[in-house]
Amino acid sequence: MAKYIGKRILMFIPMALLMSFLIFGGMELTPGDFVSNMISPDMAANMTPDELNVLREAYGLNDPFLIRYVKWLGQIFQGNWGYSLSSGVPVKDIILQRLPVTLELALTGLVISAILGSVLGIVSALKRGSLLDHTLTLAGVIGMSIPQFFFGMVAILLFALNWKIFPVGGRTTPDMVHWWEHLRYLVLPALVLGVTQTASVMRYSRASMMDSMHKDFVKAARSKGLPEWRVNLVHGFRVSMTPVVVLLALRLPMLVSSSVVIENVFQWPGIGVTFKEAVSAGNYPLVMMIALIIVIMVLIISLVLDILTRVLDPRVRLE
Amino acid sequence: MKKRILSLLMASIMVLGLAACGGKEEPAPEATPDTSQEQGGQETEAPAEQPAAAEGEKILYSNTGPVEFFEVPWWNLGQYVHSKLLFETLIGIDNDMNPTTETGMAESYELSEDGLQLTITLRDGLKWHDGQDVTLDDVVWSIEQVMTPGAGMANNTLKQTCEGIEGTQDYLDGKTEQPAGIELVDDKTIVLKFATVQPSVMLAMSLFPILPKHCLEGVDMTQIQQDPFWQSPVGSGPFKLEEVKIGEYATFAPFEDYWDGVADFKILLNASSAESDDKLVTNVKAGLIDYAYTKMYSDVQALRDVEGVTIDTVPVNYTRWFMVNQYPKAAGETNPLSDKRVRQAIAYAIDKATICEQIFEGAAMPGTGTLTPTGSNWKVEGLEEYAYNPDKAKELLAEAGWDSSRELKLAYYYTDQQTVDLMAIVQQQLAQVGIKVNPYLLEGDVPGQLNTAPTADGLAGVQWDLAYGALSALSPLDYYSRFAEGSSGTWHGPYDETLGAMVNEMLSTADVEKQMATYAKIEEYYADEIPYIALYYQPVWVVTSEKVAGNVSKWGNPQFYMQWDIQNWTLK
Repeated sequence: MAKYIGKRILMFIPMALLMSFLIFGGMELTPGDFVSNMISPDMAANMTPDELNVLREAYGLNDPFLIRYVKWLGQIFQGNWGYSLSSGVPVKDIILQRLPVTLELALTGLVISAILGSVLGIVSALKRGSLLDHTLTLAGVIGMSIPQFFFGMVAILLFALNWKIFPVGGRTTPDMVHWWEHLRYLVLPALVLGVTQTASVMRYSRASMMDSMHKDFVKAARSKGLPEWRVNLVHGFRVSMTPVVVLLALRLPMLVSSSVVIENVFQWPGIGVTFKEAVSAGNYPLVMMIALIIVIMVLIISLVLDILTRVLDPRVRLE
Repeated sequence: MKKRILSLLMASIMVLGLAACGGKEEPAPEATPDTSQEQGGQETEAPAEQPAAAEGEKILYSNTGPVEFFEVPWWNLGQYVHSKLLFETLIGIDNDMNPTTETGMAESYELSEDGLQLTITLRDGLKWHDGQDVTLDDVVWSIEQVMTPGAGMANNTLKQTCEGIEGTQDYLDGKTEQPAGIELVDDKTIVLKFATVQPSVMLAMSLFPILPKHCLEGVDMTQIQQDPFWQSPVGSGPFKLEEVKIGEYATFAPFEDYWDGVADFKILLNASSAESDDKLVTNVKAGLIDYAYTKMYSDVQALRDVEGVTIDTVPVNYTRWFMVNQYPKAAGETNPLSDKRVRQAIAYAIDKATICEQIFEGAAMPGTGTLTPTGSNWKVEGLEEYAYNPDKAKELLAEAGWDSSRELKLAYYYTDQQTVDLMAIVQQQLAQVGIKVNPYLLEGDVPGQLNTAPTADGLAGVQWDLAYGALSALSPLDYYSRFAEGSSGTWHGPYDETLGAMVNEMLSTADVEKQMATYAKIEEYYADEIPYIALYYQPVWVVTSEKVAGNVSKWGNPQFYMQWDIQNWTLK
């Protein structure tokens, strides 16, 4: 297994390089650059092309695409992640500050969706064809159809503005003394993120559970006279979780990237909003590093998944 | 292998998806002053509850806290609440945009009769928030930085005024250590001598925040915004920065050494952009904003019935208009928009009054033949107003030989629904008189697409025929200064010698009466030529909670430094 892991890690390098080139190229194809985004059209009306050019030169935007890419890559290999073009703050500092904030939200959302989704999915599978099953299936379809921002706005309206149970948004306030005080700010966005992800997990686990309930080993367990709950939970549930775990694990980096909507609705100061702003501003050093980190997260998680799959299902062999 | 491909594919989709989410923000329109104020407050009752403050501590909540950094205040001159809290202007400014000694660093000032010499004396005891004295060194350093070439973070009027100081070029060429036109009389008095009359000198110096030399000396002006100073700036204004979490909030404590009173409350700014705070309505309703301003009428509609919230209308120099490209796009062509009858027809064909009524419920004023907002004491009354008259439009088009099969490209860059609706209405109304227009959203390098000089052989530098945009003027003079020879106003149409000569005449004197007399001639001429077409004049709205309602009798233009006297507010 060690050899397999080593090989996979080595594969990360060309993959990450390819992805970085594609992302840099994608940024290049986007119309406009940092300077044209930094200066409002009204303001630019009073600036001469020479003045704009001086700014472009200062930000190193006049170099050809490949030169800029190679320069950026060279810095990365030297351990220098660069500086945000807009604030001058080291990219490393921004990511170290914002990524944990998003991970906190994404992981909480993931746990909520994992628990709710798998429990409801299994219940639905075990009660197949019942009113409960139909109701949960319908709820699942509705849940997948409603956009996150809508869910978020309704949640703010009900829980924050009308009932005043939770704050409308944000993450911290100056008067906080203990770290747990900010948990009340986490509840609403995490619930919305989790609940909106529950439907697909539920449908996945329902299908998986139904599939595993027809396997021979489940029939064998049942024929041994084991209690039904044991057949379901120990034999059926364990195997049915393999594809669900794959889904959940691959969803984590997706949650990081897709949290931009929730972060925006709930004023959550995470990496999603930062990335969105960086893309809007043409702030390529920041865009590149955030994107690269997401790519690396996907690659690492896919490796961890392979190992987890092996642990959950002894029939799987790693090659 | 399949899994690897799947992983890569997923990573690509994710990154691209996220990138797609980073769409264009609505460009923040430039700030604008006003010359005549009238406030129409709509008052209701008590607001929502606010987060708990420490016992006995009063906190004023507002927005425009730093999202990534505190903005250099030389660009948008007081647009952000934090700029006004932290930094003080060289000369004070009142709520009608006139210079005053009731605010600002200057204890006195005097502009010579010929407008070429400005003498300023600083107050005693001015301090920076870090305890150091504010000195004339800071003033001279600030002026020198603003005049530095490539100082992209300085407002154009401010920059031009500073560049007008005698000896600027020798200083920039390294021949002198300081511009010859800057003279220090003693440790409190400075004399600025100008090579030519600077028509906006008093306005520029009244909106000029002085920065601490000891904190910023040596910084590259092209990248001043990226200096670490702007993560936690030091100023000399009535409030000092207490705590900041970039992207979350910033708190400000009263500055105990401020010369004009010390507040008995703190201020907390939620992180948000200045004018397009999409969380304004939610945060006001949640009691997280006690003071803010907005240019979005949809915010006013959403907040006007909220208990305890007061909304004041503040007229400003802000005009939404159609820029008109008069240059041909191909050799040998004549652009029909170079015929003033076609431009006049467009102005007559758009029902500006109904648009203002439908979209702004009457809160904005319909455009007339001139750029100056209705209500301004600089506006010349009695000129052609181009009220809706489709028959007249058809008549003018027939006279001009308009080809109704021609399609005009109408560019716009605001992404809000209001703009989209407006484009659809204009398209329909122009179609009714036989003018086809194709509205399209400018994306990417918007400044470049809006403002590109014509080619050497006189072809248009821009692709559009009409462009919907905003014209915000620091002063009424600014409205027409763009028609001076060589300015960007001549990039969309040939230089108009008559108009240019009048503008130059107006800008060559500091005498306000003379300026106004020439201004009247310019407006009369402009109303007939209408090189650009005014659609409507828009105010801004100040939103306050009951905590501050009643404390301020008259708002200045909230997008600029003003005499808001915030340190002396009494919070309920």
